[in-house]
Parts: sequence; structure tokens; C-alpha cells
Amino acid sequence: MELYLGLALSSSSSSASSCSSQFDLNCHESTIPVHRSKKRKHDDDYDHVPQTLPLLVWNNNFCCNKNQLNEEHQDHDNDGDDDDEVESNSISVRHRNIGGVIGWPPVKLCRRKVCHRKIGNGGGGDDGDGGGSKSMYVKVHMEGIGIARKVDLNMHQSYQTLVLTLANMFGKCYGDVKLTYQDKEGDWLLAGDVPWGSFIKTIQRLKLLKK
Amino acid sequence: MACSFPEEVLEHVFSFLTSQKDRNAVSVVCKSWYEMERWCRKRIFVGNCYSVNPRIMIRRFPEVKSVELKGKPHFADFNLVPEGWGGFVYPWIVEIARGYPWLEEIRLKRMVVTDECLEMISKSFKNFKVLVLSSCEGFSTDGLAAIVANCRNLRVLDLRECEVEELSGHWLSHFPDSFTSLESLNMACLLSEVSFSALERLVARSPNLKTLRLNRTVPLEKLSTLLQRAPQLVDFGTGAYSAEIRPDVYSSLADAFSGCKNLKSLSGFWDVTPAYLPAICSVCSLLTSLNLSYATTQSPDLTKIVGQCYNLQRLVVLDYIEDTGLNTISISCKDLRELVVFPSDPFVADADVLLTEQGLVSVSQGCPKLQSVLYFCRQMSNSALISISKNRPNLTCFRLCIIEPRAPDYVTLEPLDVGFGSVVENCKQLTRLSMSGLLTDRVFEYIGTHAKNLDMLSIAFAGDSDLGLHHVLSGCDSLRKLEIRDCPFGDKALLANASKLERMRSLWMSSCFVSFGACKLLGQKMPGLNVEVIDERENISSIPECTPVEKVYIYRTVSGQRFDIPDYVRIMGKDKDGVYDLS
Repeated sequence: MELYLGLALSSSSSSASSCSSQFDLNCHESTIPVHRSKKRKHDDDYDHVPQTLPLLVWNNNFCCNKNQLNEEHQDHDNDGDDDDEVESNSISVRHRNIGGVIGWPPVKLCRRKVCHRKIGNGGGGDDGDGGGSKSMYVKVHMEGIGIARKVDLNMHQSYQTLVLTLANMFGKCYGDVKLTYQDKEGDWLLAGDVPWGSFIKTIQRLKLLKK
Repeated sequence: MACSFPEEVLEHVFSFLTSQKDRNAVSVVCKSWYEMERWCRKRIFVGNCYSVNPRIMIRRFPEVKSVELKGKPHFADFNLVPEGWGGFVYPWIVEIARGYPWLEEIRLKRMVVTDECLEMISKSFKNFKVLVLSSCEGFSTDGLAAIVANCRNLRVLDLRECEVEELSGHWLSHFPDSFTSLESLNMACLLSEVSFSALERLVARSPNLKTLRLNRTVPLEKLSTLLQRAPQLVDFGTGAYSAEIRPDVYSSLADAFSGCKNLKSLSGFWDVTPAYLPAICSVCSLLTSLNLSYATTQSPDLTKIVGQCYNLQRLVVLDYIEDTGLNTISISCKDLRELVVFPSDPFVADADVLLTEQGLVSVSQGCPKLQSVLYFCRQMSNSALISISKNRPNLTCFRLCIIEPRAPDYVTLEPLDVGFGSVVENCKQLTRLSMSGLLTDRVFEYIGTHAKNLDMLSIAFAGDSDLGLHHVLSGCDSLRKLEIRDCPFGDKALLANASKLERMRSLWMSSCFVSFGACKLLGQKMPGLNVEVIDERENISSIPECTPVEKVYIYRTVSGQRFDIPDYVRIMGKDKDGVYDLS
């Protein structure tokens, strides 16, 4: 079976000449059989040059669509198993990052180091209160760096901002580090598993590890 | 077919052609022109080091004196390309050392350069003059020491935003005492302290020194010493610009600056003590370029200085400049061509500074020569974008980053399609565009329709469907570089526009919906492309073909297969010998 991909645009698009042409991947010499999804009923409609798009509407969040995708590909010749769901899940887990979205905003590493150098509250920051509230300073070590720093946990309400601050403090990119902490019992744990409130109550010191 | 001009005449004519584009055009006129041109080409630019094999290059162009290479894709700057992906310059250096013993210049961007490479460079080219490394990594200060010690004719050592393993600051002391040819030294990205006396002596014996960019460790108190030794400087970068406020230090600094009658560019300015900023006032009216993007100073202090730079053409600043500062600039800096505003606190959603779309609108209104913009802000509106585009139809580069992904027009809460559409419609010479904010497929329709001169497009968190990508690939006739992240673009648009990809340098898509199957098909069908799937998940080979890949990087190539790929990169559709894989 061959894959015929006819792509017709609505006439509301411009004067560009390519608008109304059909795009046929099979105009290349060799035709390599490709599995065609039997669920794609719309393929037959392409001959009629539909006025409206879209070809395929996706939800921004791929995970929401994973069930829809499973249905569409049930008849796919080379996989009849239910592993699609597992694989789709793994994509979302993969992209979730305790520091937030990787590489956004698009600011180079050397520039990220400038941030968090707030002015107006004095350069030091280690002494005195910020805005009248109580400070909660804990020691932070970075793997491979001898000198420890201190961070005021009361300035943060989430793991995200904490990791970002710490990463910047040591001139690292937050995607390259993972945060661990020592709790009241002396155990070292990976940060992020417990709610922030519980974390604050039990944390003794922090350590940033390279990923 | 007789050629009416003797070779010597043609060669002479060709020598006036410096742009690679012109030379490429000339070389396809006829066989004899091809032959003549290839023998007299002196400079080569390779935009993607994997697009061509160095041996092919050397075979075709035997008399090259200057080589420029780029390695990793642009999104590597934002950590989207995993460690070890590639861009290793070593194989190039090996071939070039053999093929071009008289090479004078090497310029590399986003490449992995080892100490071994630097040592090889320092020993292989007797007349080596220029080394420019931009956003490179993989070398240490030992490699720098080798360059500095062995390249007797070195003129330019320019390290731009490189990641260097700093074993010591001693490398600078390796410049021989007899070495006097230095014209440009940029060490701004280095973190370790160099011997100041070695630096001072180097500057003192370099009469042709025009560019000197220091690193942070050179204290403010010592700047006047250096400036007095090199009053001929055209481009100067300070170190950390902070010190206790002392009148004697201030006045010697101010005097030293006023002695620099040729100064056109200033940069550096880390950790600024505002009281010292006015020391540069005497040169403000000379400046065409000013980079204060490391100066964490408030608006009034910044504005006072920038407002005096009447001849400024290029300004790089943090958002501390605020709308008021930009308004002043729009009145005072009528020659401004390029504006870059970086965020002081990119990871915080709420603005701490009063920088909005208004600042950019003012500059677009007041600065008639403004051509290039890179602007980070937290709010934007369609009406502002429309104003900007109507004020400045001469824009060639427009890069807007609204910090929050998918942020709508903050006034109407609509997508910013119409605003960006207006930019591409009015700015007919636009060659580079980066977009952000809430954008639907509509904006891509505008881009495909109007952006006929667009060379590079960067898209993030935008679009609704494959149609968006299809508009771009089918409509943008001049498009050569396309980079996309986190957009719902999948297989259809890519496969339908496969032939377009051969007319582009490269396409990057990450966190989109392009499937393994599509990548394989593309790789199989398009022998002129490398379709690299970059995916760090385990058991990739057992993942179903319909699963989207994490990242795909597609580029045209005549050099075929890569032999240096890490295990998480697969070149689709070809087996390890570069032959089609039909399985």
C-alpha cells in the first residue's frame, strides 16, 4: 500500500502559487510501502480539494491525546499491543523538569549568571531580613565545589524557584543539576517528592548534584 | 566555447568578489569559470560542519587562507542539545593541517574544540593569524597557552562566550616577549585571574592593539593603567566595574578614557558601581556600540549615560533600562541600528522592572535606522506590534521573547497572530524572525504569504496543527534555517514538504509530534538529507513507529553519514555505511 499525501489549502490563503497544488510524496521515483492507518477516513476527501483545514488537529498537550492516538493506531500492522499508552506517558515524564521548561526563556548560560543579582537590598543578602519576614538560611553544597553557600528558604514557595536560584548561585544550568536534602533523621533524599510545606519542616541542609 | 577574457583578467575580476554567495554564483557559470574561481577562493564558510567533508572542501579549494565553521544547532545555546551530540572540530583540523599549511584564520562557532586541536593549530600553520571561538567548549587554558606560545604571527585571539576549563590564568604569560603583533584580544568569558603585569607588558608592546576585552577579574583600579598604555584602542571591555568610591581612582579613570580618541565600542561592566559610570562620559559621543548587559544598575544611572551616546548604533542592555530609559534613547540616539534588551530575571513570571512593549514602540518611533531587535519582555499587544511594524518597515531582524509561553495580547487576550502578521507584511526585508506569545496557525499563514525574504525563523509553543508548519515550509521561499520547539507539528507537513528541506540548511524540531516512522521515511526517501533523531529514552529500537521523537534535526549534506554520533542519536533511513536501510 502506498501513502498518498495530498495537501490542499483553502483558497483564503494568499496569492502564493503553491496554495492550490497537491503534494504527492509518491512523485519520487521509488515507492516504499508505508503502513496506512485505516482509521483516516479523511484521506478520500482530498480529491475534492476541501475548503477548510485542518489536516489533523492536535491538542497542545500530547498526553491528553494519547487515548485518541491509541484508537487511531489500533490497526497498525506492526504493533498490536497496548504499549502505546506507556510510551506516551514516558514522553510527558521525560519533559517534566523540576526547574520548569528546559531552555526557556532562551537565555544563554553566561547571561543566566547575571540574574538574581538583585540590587537595592544590598549586595550581601546574608544578613538582615528581607522585608520583615523571618529568614530561614540553610547551607548548600555543590558537588565538586569546596565552598558552601547559604540560601534563605523563606524566599521560596516552590522547588522550581529554589533549584533555579541554587543553580544560578553556582553558575550551573538548572537542567544539569538535581537537588538533594538531608532531613531531620539524617537521611539524604531527592528533593521534590514531598509537598513544599513538609519539606520546609524537615530540611536540614541541601546538596546540589550534577546530573 | 571560446572564453573572450584571458584568465588573468577574470581572476582579477573575481578577486573583488568577497561574498561567498557571489563566488558560488560565479562558479556555476561554466566549467572554466568554476576552475578559475576554485583556485582563487581564499575564504570558506561552512554553516554546518556535517554538511560537507573537509577533504571535499580541500580538494575543491586548494588555496584557502580562512576557514569558518559552525557546529551545533542554534538551540544548543539553550541546552536543548544533549552533551556529546557532536560538532567536534578535530577531524577538520587534521585535514586542514594537511591541506592548508598556509592557513591564516580559523573561526568556529558552537563547536567542541579540544586542547589537542588548539595544539595542532598552533603547530601546523606557520602564518596563523586569527582565531575566533564563539560559544565553543572542550578546551582548557592549557590549549590557550599553546596558541599563545607558538603562533608567532597571531593577531586575533577572540573567545566569545566559550566554556573554558580554567586550570590557571598563567596562559597569558606565554606570549613571548618578542611578540608584538597583537591586534585583538577578547578574554571576557574567562573566569580566572591573569597576571596583571604580564597583561600590562603585553598591551605595552602591542602598538596595533585595537580590541581589548578584559575579564571580570581585572579590577577597576587597574583600568586606567591599561588605557594609558593603549590609547589607540577602538574596542574596550572593562572587567568588574566596581570599587570603593575614591576620587583619585575616579579621576585617573576618567582621564584615561578621555585619552582614547578612537574608542568606538565599550563592553564589560560587570557589577557596576553607579558612581563610576560617568567616568566614560568623555567618550560617550564617540561610541557606536555599547554593551551594558552585565550592568545591574537602575534606570536613571543607565539612562544618564546612554542618553549621551548620540552616535550609538548598537545598544545591548538589561531590562533595567525600563520604558523611560528607552524613551530617552528614542530621542537621543537617532543613529541606533540594533537594540538588544535582555531580562534581568528571566525565571520570574512577574515583572520587577517597568519594561513593557511601550519601550520598544518608542524606540521604533524615534530611531529611523533601527533594523535589528532582540527584546525580552513580559507583555505585548497586537496594536504595539502593528505600530512597530508600521514605524519601522526597514526591520531586518525581529526577535521578540515574551517570557511567559503562550502569553496572549495582554489587552484583548487574543492571540498575537495579527501583530506578527503585520510585522511580516510591513517589513518586507525581514530576514530573521523569532516569535513568542499565543500564536495560532493563522500567524503561519501570514508568514508563508508575506515573509518572502525570511532566512531564519524560530518558533516556540505556537500553532495548532500541521497546517502551520506547512504554511511556512511551502510559502517561505528564502527560508534556510527553521527551529521549532514545543509545537503541535507532526508528520504530514514535514513529509509533504520533503523537497523543501533540501533547499534549506537545517530544520530543528523538538517536543513536537514528528514520529519515528516519518523520520525513517524521510531518511529513506531523501538521500541528500541527514535525518537525525535525538532521543535519550532507553530501548528506542522497540518504540512503536508512531511514537513522536524527542528531537529531530534534519540537514542537507553531501558528506553522507556521520561517524561520530553518540548512542542517543540515530541517522534515520541509512545504515552505518550511509546506504539506504529499507527494513
